[in-house]
Amino acid sequence: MKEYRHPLFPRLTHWLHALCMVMLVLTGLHIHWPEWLPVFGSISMARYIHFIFAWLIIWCYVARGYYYFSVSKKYRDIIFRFSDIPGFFKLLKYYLFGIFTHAPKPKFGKYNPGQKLAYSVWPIVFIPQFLTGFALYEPEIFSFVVDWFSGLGYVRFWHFILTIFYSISLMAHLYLGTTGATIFDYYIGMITGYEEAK
Amino acid sequence: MRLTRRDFIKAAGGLGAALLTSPFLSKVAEAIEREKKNFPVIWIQGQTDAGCSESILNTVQPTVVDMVTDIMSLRFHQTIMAASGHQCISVLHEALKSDEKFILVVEGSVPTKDEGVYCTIGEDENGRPITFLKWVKELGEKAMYVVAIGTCATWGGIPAAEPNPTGAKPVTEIIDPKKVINLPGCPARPHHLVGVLAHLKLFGLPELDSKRRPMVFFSRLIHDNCEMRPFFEKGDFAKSFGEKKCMYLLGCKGPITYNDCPNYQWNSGLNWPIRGGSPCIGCAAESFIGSTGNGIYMRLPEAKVPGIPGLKVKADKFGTIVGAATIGGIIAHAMGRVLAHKKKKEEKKVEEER
Repeated sequence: MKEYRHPLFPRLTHWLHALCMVMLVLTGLHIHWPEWLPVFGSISMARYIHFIFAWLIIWCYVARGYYYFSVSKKYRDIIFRFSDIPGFFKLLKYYLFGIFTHAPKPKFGKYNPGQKLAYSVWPIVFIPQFLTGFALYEPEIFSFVVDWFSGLGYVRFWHFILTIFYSISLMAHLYLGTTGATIFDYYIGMITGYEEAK
Repeated sequence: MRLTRRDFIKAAGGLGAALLTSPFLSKVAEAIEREKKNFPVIWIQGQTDAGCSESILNTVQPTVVDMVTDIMSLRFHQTIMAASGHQCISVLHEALKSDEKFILVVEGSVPTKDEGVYCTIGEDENGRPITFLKWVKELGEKAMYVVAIGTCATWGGIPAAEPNPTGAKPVTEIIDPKKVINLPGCPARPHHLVGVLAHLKLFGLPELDSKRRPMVFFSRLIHDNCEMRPFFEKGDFAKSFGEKKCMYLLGCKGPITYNDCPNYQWNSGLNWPIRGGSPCIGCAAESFIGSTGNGIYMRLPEAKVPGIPGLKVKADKFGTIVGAATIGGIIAHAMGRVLAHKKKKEEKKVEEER
């Protein structure tokens, strides 16, 4: 029995966001290690693609913010609150032990506390990523950011560290996506909108 | 594995020499001091302005006094030694005779034309001047390592520039290049010499590139780590001096010069040419002054402005368009909702009135 869980707009922006993330990480690695990962030809090209997707992801965030806070008003589904902390530990216990002994999955709202934590932390961490990115893009206009980090070198360092954070949490996101009713259930749900009913 | 005190000091010294972060340098000095090996250095100057010597005198951690008293036993240095005449030249003769191992530092290029008569140091027993060429050949053969310091000793530099009246040549063309370490730069940088001498004493030859330069200092172009790099990539160039932008079109030699100025800067990290508004003149580059003939402020002959050919839309423009579309969409959507809400309210009112 399938259930409609994901409307069209979140699905579209989700995949746009995913594309942006992958392209930003790849082009970013090319810019960071030009001689190790020269996948986009030249640094100029990598930087160009990087900026295009940087702009896209920013406006994508704006659109999603408008959607969750004003249109669907489902932001309570994705914001992590202090009351979610006990549930988070219950979920951790399930992922670490229960999932192997086929214990029943703890019941939560639409998204579990782990998902809420991730979906809340990502936009927050995006703010320093956005600022450091723009400091590298327009060092004169964003010179106050450069000053906070005491130099472009450190701006670059933190931009890279946050990229590593995003890459690792993306891996976790992809892996936990396989813990649905079937391995691809959540993936299919994110494309068609329909998932196995709980 | 047990870490002995000695291992630790070695590791700390090595790290310090490799990273050259200034607080470590005093540790390097300590480690070298504890090694207590005899560490004689003979420093001879040929066709040079002694600028490299002056640059080295400005080393801060360790200071030059620490260097000549604790780190190395500086046997001969034309500029700073107190002795003169036979008294000092005898040091060189003794070095040739004795079996003691020493490190030779050569500053300045070696004139070779007319058997090198254009530069001499001291006299032999018959009262005839001894050429610099002969000193470099003989002392170089005897030395454990030869450090060619500065652009003149490394590439030939200003004395070797056209028309090169003295037939000036770099050290590597005079003696076996296998024991030469090149430290180009006009002047050479203090921490390069301190680092190399420390490495030679503690660990032997450092890792060198194909042109005998230490990888730790010369593996990256100035351009790679330049603080004006974002301007270069954007194609935003300074048209005249004083503009705080990429100075590529004003003749910056950063894209062909290997050195670590962007990382460590000059005068103990105070400033460096690019930040001071001067393009890099490529003083450590092989083509400095001499071979390519492009003067200090002439544009590099292969100057290619970055960018993607055939590309009209700039990233900013793209961002503005997408942003306008997003904001526009949101506003349209919100207005639609407000209108729909009003309509519903009115319908409700009509229903209630009925």
